[in-house]
Amino acid sequence: MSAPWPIWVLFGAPVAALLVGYFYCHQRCPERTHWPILASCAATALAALWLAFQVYEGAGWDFIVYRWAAIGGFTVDFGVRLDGLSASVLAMVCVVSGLIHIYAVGYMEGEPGTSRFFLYFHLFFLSMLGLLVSNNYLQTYVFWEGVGLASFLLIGFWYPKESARRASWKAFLTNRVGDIGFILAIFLLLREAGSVRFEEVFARLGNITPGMRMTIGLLLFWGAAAKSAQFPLHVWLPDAMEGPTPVSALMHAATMVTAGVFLMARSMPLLESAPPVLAVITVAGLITAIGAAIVSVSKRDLKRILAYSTVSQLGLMMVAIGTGNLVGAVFHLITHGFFKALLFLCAGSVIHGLHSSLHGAVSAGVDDAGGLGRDLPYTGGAFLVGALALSGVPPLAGFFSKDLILEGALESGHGLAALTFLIALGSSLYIFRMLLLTFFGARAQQRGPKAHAHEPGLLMRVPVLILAVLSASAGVFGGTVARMLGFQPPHFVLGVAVSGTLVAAAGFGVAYFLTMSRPSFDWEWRARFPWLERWLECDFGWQKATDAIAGGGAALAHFVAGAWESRRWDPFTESLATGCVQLGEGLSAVCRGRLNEYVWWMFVGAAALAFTVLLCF
Amino acid sequence: MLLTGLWVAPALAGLLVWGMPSRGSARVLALALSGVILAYAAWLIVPYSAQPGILRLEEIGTAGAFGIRYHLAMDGIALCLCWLTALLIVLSLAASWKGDVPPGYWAAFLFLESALMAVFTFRDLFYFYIFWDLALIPMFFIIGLWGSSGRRKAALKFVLYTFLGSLSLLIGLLALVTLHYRATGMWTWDMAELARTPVAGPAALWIYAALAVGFAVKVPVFPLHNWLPEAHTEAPAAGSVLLAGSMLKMGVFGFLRVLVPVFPELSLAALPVLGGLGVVNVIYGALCAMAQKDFKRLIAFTSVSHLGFCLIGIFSLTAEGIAGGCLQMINHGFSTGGLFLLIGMMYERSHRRGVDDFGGLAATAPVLSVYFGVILLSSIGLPGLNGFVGEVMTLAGMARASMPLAVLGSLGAVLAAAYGLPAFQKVFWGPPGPDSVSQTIGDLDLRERAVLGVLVAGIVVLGVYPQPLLRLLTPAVEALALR
Repeated sequence: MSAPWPIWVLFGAPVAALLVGYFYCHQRCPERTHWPILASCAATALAALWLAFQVYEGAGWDFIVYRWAAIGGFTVDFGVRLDGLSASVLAMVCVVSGLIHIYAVGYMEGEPGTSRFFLYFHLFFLSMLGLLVSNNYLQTYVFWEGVGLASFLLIGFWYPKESARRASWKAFLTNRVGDIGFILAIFLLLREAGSVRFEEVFARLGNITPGMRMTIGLLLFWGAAAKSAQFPLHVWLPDAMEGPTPVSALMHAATMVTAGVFLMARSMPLLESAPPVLAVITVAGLITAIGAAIVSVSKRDLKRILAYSTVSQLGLMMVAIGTGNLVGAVFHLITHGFFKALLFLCAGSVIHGLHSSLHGAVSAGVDDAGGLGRDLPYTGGAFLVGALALSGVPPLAGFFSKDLILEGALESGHGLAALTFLIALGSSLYIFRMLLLTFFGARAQQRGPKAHAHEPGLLMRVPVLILAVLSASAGVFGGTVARMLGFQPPHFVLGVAVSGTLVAAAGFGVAYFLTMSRPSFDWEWRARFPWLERWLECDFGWQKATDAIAGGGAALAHFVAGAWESRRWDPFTESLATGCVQLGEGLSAVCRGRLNEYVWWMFVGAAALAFTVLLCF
Repeated sequence: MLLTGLWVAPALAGLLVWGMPSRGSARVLALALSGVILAYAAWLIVPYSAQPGILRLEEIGTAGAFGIRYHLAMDGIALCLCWLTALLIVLSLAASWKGDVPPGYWAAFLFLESALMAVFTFRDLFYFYIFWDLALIPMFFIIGLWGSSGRRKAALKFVLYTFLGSLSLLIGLLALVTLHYRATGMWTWDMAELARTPVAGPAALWIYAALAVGFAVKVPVFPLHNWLPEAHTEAPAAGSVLLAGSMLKMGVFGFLRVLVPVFPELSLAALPVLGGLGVVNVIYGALCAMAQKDFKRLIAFTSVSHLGFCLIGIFSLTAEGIAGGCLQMINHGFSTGGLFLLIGMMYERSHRRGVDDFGGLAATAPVLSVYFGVILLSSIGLPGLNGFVGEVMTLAGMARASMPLAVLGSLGAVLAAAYGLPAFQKVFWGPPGPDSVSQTIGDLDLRERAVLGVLVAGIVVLGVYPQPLLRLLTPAVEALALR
């Protein structure tokens, strides 16, 4: 089947927008750089929706665009693959990206460097599209690092801040650590399967030994763990909140960080042929999801609560992958994209509204808020929708996707199901705690806004509204996604649905008790158990361990460059040269120009010569 | 005549420029002539690809005393390196435009170009060796006369160190040719002839080692690398570009052209040693780069790291590895050459090159920072830019030969992020340095943008679509591949 032209829109529009944006707008009219970029967002969103509809109707494309490199055992063709998986995620990414681009126009208004912001932001978008529609592992890797670069640039967007620079570097470095796994998996695939193209690799799985399949699967998961912030490589994501809020919403919540889950979903045939890998993914997902949920409950910074929530939800998606529940993972990826973007944008509206009381800080904590529901009823309402969706209250989107994951877990065993319910409980707890602390009450310890906080303008409110509608209603697409992935529409297990809802309600109850019935609880436990807060602050000590590893690397570099290279090895080689000079000087002492000495040397030499001759004959 | 012209023309151009009466006219003439030579080198693709099936140009004279014979040949690898050299010469001359230097400076670069072209095209080891050593002379003067404060010591160290390497090479070559004579009764210095009758026995191992040491000094391979940081740091910017961009490639080229074809068995056996040293280069160079405060020295050490990938690729002895090594040579010329040019431009404006001397240049020199960013990203192997292609192919090749070495080599990607990005952040994003240099630094002018624009275009094109270049390399590379 030949490629329909909207596929080319997916690449052409962002590339054109970036070129026009950089070479024309950025130089001449930086206040309008977002114009071509918004146009490109609209075009790609339409194209993506049309393509998703075609795929839903049964179409599908997998074709080669051009030969990237081929020699010896290394053959890589770049191409496009649009199937149920990529088309469904693509539609979500394009819609959410478009909305957040619009939101960003309002949010970044008046900031210095807005033009640069939109260029980076759209560079991310382009890379994300390339990642999703790629038809082979190496091309995925190329765009995978592309989104990593955009992440680096945008986390460090407010680069005069030391913390922003450090966070962006940490993000890139941690992702490179994960990328080693990804690229090694690619080398092994090239060696074992002779190809990196998905369909060829999956067709040749039988030729690969089980041990090698397991190695490749684990290496791929190592890469996915860095991008999707799974323990032990999750450390970069909380710090990534140093970037502007639209960045956190789009990249570090809704789309980019789900790339790891997407890669796992893409590699499902490979993973299913290596069951130990699935077990590892499940365990890593569980550790991540539960740990991050606990840490999230303890956080004060609004964006960091949401960041840990994202880590936790990604862990939940990994659990779904690990239980072989492809539809659950992908559907939760999509609904999570809607409601987490909504929650982040609401947090952004709060920060925007509190701007004057924040003294230039880029984020707000629970101390800065309290009782904002009165000043920001619209934002508060939208946040409530997001919170209900996240916690899995019917009939909002999160309910359906989480329900699918719970069902899948239950099929795999009761212990696993119990732990998954625990994750659901945790997510309900932290999100309602955040909701109640931010929009209700006003506790004695909360400074609150100095003046009245204000609702943002229309440019920011409309995307929030649309996302709220999507978060509330996206549950109806469950059957659609399942069909696109080639599965039967999910059946509905009443018991799981009821218990899931009860768990969400229980989370709400605990959150209500700890924030409204005992309004100062959040400050009391910190005062009473400072060690506990410190312990949670560094992710149960893991952040300190990774800092120590990075510090060890730097110390090694200083040792090699200083103590060895410039104080030992370099002086040694130079000493060979100076040694020669000294030897020459020493020998020159013999030749002082005294004739009688020369005669003696001549005599000695002649004697030695004669002696040698006599000895030989 | 086509190939003779390639090395004679720059020499004649150098003489002409040297004889110019004024500094201004020498400058104009040098740039114009180097441009003509670049065009000529580029045009060689036409006759090169006009002979289907043979895919190379060749000129053979008759053998003289001791079998020395004028023999030039051009294959894909040599063609790419000649293009790179000719391009870098033009760019570095354009970049030194403002320097008030005598005609000798411009002539030295053209003489260097002549020697490099000869090294890349001669197939007779006698001539190869002559030009291998002749190339040292112009670079000695470029560093020693026009370098920065420590130039005299750096130039001396450069010449002594690399000349010792050449000595090892010479001994190895003499032994090789003599052994060949004893075995066959025929004197020859021709690479192809020598490859046809392999030398065996313990002597072969000694010859192999002597030749490897000779080439390794030039690459440079750890632990024979420490002439490089000082020479790169003290040389003028244009000199560093040529040193890193073209001269280091002589060493890699030597491995490819002499060592692998003449000693295929030994090269296969040398995987743990020479492939291992490639990995050491990658990691050691990156670690040293991480700790540098002088930006030029930092980039010098990244060269050590990058050329480690060339070694990894070549001694994997797979087609993709060798091709990756060749691409890595080209790509390193673009990225490291570009970085040295950029540091040179910053030095020209501020007379500083410490990482901590600058800060916040993204605001004061936005165009400079965009160029710097792209070229640095290419250097640290960001996919989509050219640096990635060489790295991924060399490592993929090594994964077929030895997985442990490939795993260790891929650590270089993490270390690259660790040395490249903090320095970039400090200079372009960080707080300004101790004095007002960063505030008053001017952005790039049109000439500088043009010079860097050529490099950036190459970086993007070779990263997005490396296949045409790869196709050019394929016949020569496949002839070398043994695994």
